[in-house]
Amino acid sequence: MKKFLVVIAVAALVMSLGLAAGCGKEQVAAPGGQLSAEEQARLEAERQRRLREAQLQEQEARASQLREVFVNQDIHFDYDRYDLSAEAKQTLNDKAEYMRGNPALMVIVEGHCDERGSNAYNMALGEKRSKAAAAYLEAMGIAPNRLETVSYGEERPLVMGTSEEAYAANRRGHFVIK
Amino acid sequence: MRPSPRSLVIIGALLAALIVMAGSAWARVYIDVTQPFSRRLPLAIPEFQPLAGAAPDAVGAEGNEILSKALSFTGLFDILDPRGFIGKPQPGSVNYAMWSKVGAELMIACSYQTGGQGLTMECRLYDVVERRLLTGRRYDGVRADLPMMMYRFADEVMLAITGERSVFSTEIAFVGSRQGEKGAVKEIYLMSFDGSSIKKVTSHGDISLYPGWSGDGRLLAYSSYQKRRPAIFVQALAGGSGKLVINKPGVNLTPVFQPGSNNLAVSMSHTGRTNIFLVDIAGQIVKHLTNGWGIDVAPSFSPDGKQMAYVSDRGGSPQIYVMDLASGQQRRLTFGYKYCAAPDWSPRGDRIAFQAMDDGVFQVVTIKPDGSGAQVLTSGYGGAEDPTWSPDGRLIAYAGRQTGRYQIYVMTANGQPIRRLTNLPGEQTDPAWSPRGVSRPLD
Repeated sequence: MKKFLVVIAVAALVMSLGLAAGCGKEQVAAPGGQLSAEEQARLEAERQRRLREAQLQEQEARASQLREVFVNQDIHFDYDRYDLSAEAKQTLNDKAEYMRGNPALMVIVEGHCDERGSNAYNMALGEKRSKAAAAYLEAMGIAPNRLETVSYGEERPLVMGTSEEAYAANRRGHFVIK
Repeated sequence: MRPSPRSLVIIGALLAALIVMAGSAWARVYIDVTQPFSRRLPLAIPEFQPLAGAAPDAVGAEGNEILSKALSFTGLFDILDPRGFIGKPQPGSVNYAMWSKVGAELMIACSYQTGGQGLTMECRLYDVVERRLLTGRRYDGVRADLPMMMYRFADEVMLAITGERSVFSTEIAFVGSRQGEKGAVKEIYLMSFDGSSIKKVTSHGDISLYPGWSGDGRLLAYSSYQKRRPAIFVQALAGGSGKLVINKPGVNLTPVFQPGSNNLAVSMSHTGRTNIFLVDIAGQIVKHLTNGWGIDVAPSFSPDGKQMAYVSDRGGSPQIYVMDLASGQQRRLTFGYKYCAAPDWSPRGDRIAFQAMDDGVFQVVTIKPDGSGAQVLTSGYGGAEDPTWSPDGRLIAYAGRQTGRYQIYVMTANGQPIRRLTNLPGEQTDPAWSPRGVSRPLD
């Protein structure tokens, strides 16, 4: 019984290989000269179309990747500070470039704080952070009417917990596409 | 100039009057709250007795419990264990020697009479040491009035002992938070002074913060995100929902009512700086008050309305400043702490409570308005934030985190712990103590 099954499997394998080889041969032969000019043109057009499609797909993938980066990459602040670090400015340069490339994009800049400090002061501090980021984007040529700022103070932490890492992740400017 | 014999006589008479006044004043000062370690007064509240000819009733024990709990809440009394008492009080005659023997310096005797739904309660407070009646009241009403009768008499006791009524007609507003789908949902709640009778005030379903009472206790101002950024709402406690008062671009934070008016001091950032403005109840700006370049928030007026404490980062870190409103002069109040916030000016005017960063944790500190006499009132793990004074200036409620989540606690003005007021799911923060007469009419 077992032997019989093995024979069938091997036969199936050989047959499929033969078929594949047959197909390959036909394709290789195709551009050879038996095809009419009309057919060749059609194939060429098809090839171009596929290429464009692939390029578009790649562009789309890249665009969605850039969009992902735009909304997911936060800028970070030191404790009780709202000035922009060199790293934050670099990130904001990327944001500005992305917004220039997508002129219809309207963005909400959120300012957030870690949970230390008074709630009211942090609400004001979060606003300073969102304003600082928006002002930088404006200086980079983004029209002010494309930017809206909102502070969440310490109300919307990204990471729960009381570690330095959690605090650092929560002191952030976050960018939301409207 | 040599004093004439006649002026000497006048001075002598004045001196005598002063001595008499000082004597009587001394006799009436039972407790000095400004003394950090003032002892508690031993108070006996024996079993309530039926009035002559009346039948015994459960209201006696109920009334005793309400009165004992209310008075012990003030932190001023050591309520003696009735199991140590000898005999029962006889209406009309007080055996001072016997009460003195069980260690009481004060004694309250109450008698009652019930008939159907009717209830009569008679209560008297005696000074056992001086062997005299201090105050007495008779209340006529229905059984359901029992708590109100007891709270009213508790206020009479406080009036006799301290010269001022206490907190038994007050409520505390606070922010209650629970976890929602997009993060914490925060609403404003009310509770009685002792943490009972919790009521939800707002139902915005987003983030509502910073409750502040009007002087008459009829309005509550707060900030809410209902309009996608913190805007100021005012809610009439008689009913209805919060009315939007001010929604300037940026943030609109920490509304407090100006004493004696319905104007609000609010922190707003529409000018680019976060400064404190005076706005009227219709949202019109009356006056631009502070002028810090960065962040000015959390105003609190002195009780006479002439000065205002607030938080500013103009010196490089958040500290408490005091502004004289007539002259516009501003001075820094707090030094020696890295971070100070949430000032609340005592209704007595003599101290300002705030939260100060001490060893990485906030603690509640009080300080005189001239910047001297700082006292740290809380200590230990979790810290304490957002202090609020009771309207008599004897108690401070605050948000503490001893259990790992914020809950509301109360202590005396000199830092003796009284108890935790809230034990709800989620967190409770930012308490704001009402003026007197909110939970029931005063006498």
